[in-house]
Amino acid sequence: MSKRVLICDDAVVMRMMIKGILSKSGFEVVGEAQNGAEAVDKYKELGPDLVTMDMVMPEMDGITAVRQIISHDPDAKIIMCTSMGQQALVVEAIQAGAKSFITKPFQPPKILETINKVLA
Amino acid sequence: MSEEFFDREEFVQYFKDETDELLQTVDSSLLQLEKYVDADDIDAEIVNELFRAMHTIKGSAGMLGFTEVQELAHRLESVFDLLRKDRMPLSQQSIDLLFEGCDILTALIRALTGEAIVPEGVDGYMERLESFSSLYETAAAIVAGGAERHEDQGEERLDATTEEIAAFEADVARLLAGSESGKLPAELLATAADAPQPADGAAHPTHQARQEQRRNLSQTIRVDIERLDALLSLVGELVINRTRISDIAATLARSLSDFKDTPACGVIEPLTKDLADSAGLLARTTNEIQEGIMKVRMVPIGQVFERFPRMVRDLSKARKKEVRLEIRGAETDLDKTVVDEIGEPLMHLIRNCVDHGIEEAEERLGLGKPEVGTIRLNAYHEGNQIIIEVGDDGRGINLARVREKGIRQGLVSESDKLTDREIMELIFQPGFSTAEKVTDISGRGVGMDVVKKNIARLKGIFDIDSTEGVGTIFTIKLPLTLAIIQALLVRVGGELYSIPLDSVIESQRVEMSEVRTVHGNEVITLRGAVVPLLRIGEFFGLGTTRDPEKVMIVIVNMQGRQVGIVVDSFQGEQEIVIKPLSDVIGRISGISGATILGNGSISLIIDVHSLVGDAYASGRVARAEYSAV
Repeated sequence: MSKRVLICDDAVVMRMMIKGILSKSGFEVVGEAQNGAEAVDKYKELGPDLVTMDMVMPEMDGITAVRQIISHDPDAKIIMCTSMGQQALVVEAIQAGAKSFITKPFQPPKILETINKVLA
Repeated sequence: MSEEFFDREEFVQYFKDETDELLQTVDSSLLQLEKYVDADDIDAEIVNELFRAMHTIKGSAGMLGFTEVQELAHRLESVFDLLRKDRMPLSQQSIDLLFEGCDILTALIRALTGEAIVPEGVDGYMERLESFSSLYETAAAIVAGGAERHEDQGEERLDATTEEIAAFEADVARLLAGSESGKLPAELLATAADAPQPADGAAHPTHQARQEQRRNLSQTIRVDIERLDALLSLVGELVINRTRISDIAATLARSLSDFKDTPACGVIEPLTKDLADSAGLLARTTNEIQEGIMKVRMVPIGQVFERFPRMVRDLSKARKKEVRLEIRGAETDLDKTVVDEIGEPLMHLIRNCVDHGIEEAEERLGLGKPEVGTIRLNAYHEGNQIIIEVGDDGRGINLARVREKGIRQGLVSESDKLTDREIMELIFQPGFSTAEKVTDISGRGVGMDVVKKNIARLKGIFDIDSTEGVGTIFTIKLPLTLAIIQALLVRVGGELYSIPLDSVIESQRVEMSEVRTVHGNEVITLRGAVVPLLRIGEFFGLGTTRDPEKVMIVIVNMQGRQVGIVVDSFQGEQEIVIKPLSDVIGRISGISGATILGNGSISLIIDVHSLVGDAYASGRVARAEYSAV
C-alpha cells in the first residue's frame, strides 16, 4: 500500500510541485492544506502517514500547526519545508515534534530521500 | 529542477495566476499601509500579510528558477520584515519605494510569460532598495549586539550552493544536538522568539472575515476559461436542439388530425403526447443547465475595480490634486468575458475624471466645494443588465466650450441648432478633446469615441450626464452575458437574419404612401419623429425587389437615434446562441456572427450598431436630425 501524504503550503506552486514529485514516486497525496489551521483539521480528518509543512503561512504558521497535530497524535510524521537562514525556526519546529526538514529550493531526490528516511 | 517530475509550462501558469492574485492584494495592502505613514503604530496584520505574500512569491520563483523575481521578492520581504519588527519607521519614502518595487515585480513576472518586455532599471532599483534597507539592517544589528547575530533569519541567503545548503542543514543538526542535551544557545532562543508569530486572532477585528474568506477559497477550484467556453458552446447546441425538438413536437401535434380515424392514430396519439411532455422537460432542464453555466462564468466586477485605487493615487499625485475614490458594488457579478473587456474603458473614464473633472484643491475651496474631490465607482444589477457608473464632483462639462470646439473641428456648423444632448454627443466624435493641453493622463486623442466603441462592442450603452460646476456621471449599461441572446428573426431576400432584441423598439407594417423621400433617402414619420429607413436587402446587395404597396419595418435604436430597417417579413422571436464568424470570412459590415436555428438552418446576426453606423457613413440613410421634412 502506498503511503498517504498531506501537503501543507500556502503557495499553490509549491503544493503542486511537491504533489507532482510525490505522486510520481508512488505516494498517494490524500489532501492539501493552505494554512496551518487547515492542516490540523485535515490531519484529524484524514490521518495521513506523513505531512509536509511550510513554515510561513497565513492564519496559523507551520510551527503552531506542528504543535497542535502532535498534541492530537504524538506519532505524527511531519517534515518541515524551510528557507535558508531559518535555523532557529527549524529548531523550534523540531522541538515541537517535527521529524525532519528540507530546505527550499529543493531537488526532487532530496525530498524523497528525507521522506523515506522519516518513514523508515 | 528535474523536468521529469513536472510539466514546467503548467507550473509557470500556476505561478503566474497565483502571483497575479498575490500582487493584487499586495497593492491594496500597500494602499492601506500608506495610511500609517509616520504613525506610531502600524496595523501588524497588514505588514504580516505583505511579508507572507513576498515570501510565497520568493519561494515559488525559487523553485521555478526565476532568480531575478526571487531576488527582488526577497529584498522586498526583508523590508517588510524590518517594518514588522519595528526596526524601520514607515516613511513616505519607504512606501513609494515599496510601490515602485511591486510595479517592477509585476512587470518582471509578466515578462516571464512574454506579456511584457523586461522592465528596465531592475538592478538600479535593487541597489537603491538595498542601500535604503541596509541602513536599518545595520542599525538593527548594532542594537541587537553586533555581528554575533549573523545567524539571524534576516540573513536569509538566496544564492546558496548545494554546499551552503548542506552547511545550513549541518548547522541546524548541531543546534538540535545541543538542544537535546538541554543546551540550546540562548542567543538562538532569542531569535526564535523573534520569529513570525501568527496574528492574535481574537484581537483582530477582521480576522473572522478573513478566515471566512480563506475557507471559501479552499472550496473553490481553478478552471481554464477555455473549458467553460467549450461547455457553453455545447449548451448552445443543446439550446438549439431543444428548440428543434419543441418544434417537431408542435408540428406533430398539429398534424395529428390528418391521422384521425386511421388505425395508426391509436399509436401516434399517445406517442405525440409523450414527446410533448418530454420536450417540455428537456426545455426546463436545458434552461437550468444554461443558467448554471452562466453563473459559473460570472465573476465579481471587483476584480477590475481592484487596480483603480492605486491608479487614482498615482494620478492624483501626478496632477497634484486631492482625489478620493469611493467604490460600491464590487461584488456585482458579470460574465468573465465582459469583465476582461471592461477594464480599459473604465480606466479611461476614471483618468478623465481625475484630469478634466476634478479641480485643483485651491479652485475647489474657492468654489465652496470640499478640498478633496470624489470619484464614485458604482456597479449594480438592473434586470438583465449590469449598470456601472463613474461619477465625479468636479467641474462638469462646459457645453458652450464643447460646441465651440465642435465648430472649430468642423463637426458641426455655427448655424446648427443643437440640443444640449446633441452637444454632449459631440464628445463621442473621434479625436474630440476639450483639454487645452495634452497631458500624460488624457487628452492624447484616444477619447470618448474609443470608450463608446468598446462598450458598443460589448453590446452595451454608454451615456454621459453632466451639470456644469456640479460634476459628471458616465453610465455604462451592459448585458450580463454575450453568448445567448433574444433575437427577432426576419426574412430578407430569402435569407433569415436575426436582430438582437435589445436594440429593437418595435416592428411595423407601413404603407408606401406614408414613406417620403428626403435627399434621395426614404423616411417615415413615427409619432412625430422622423425615422430614416434602411433597406438592408439592398445594403447587403441581395438583389431584393421593392414591394410597391408596403414596407415591413423593424425600428431599432442606436444611441438615441431611431432607424427603420426594411425587411420582407417578420418570423418571430427566438433565443439564439451567438457563434462568431471564422477568421477566414473576416469582418463583415453589419454582421456580428451567425446562429444555427431549430430546423438546422443558419441565420446571420445583424450588428445593429455597425450596420447603422456604416449606412450613415455611406449616405444610405437620411441624417434625420438635420434634415427638414
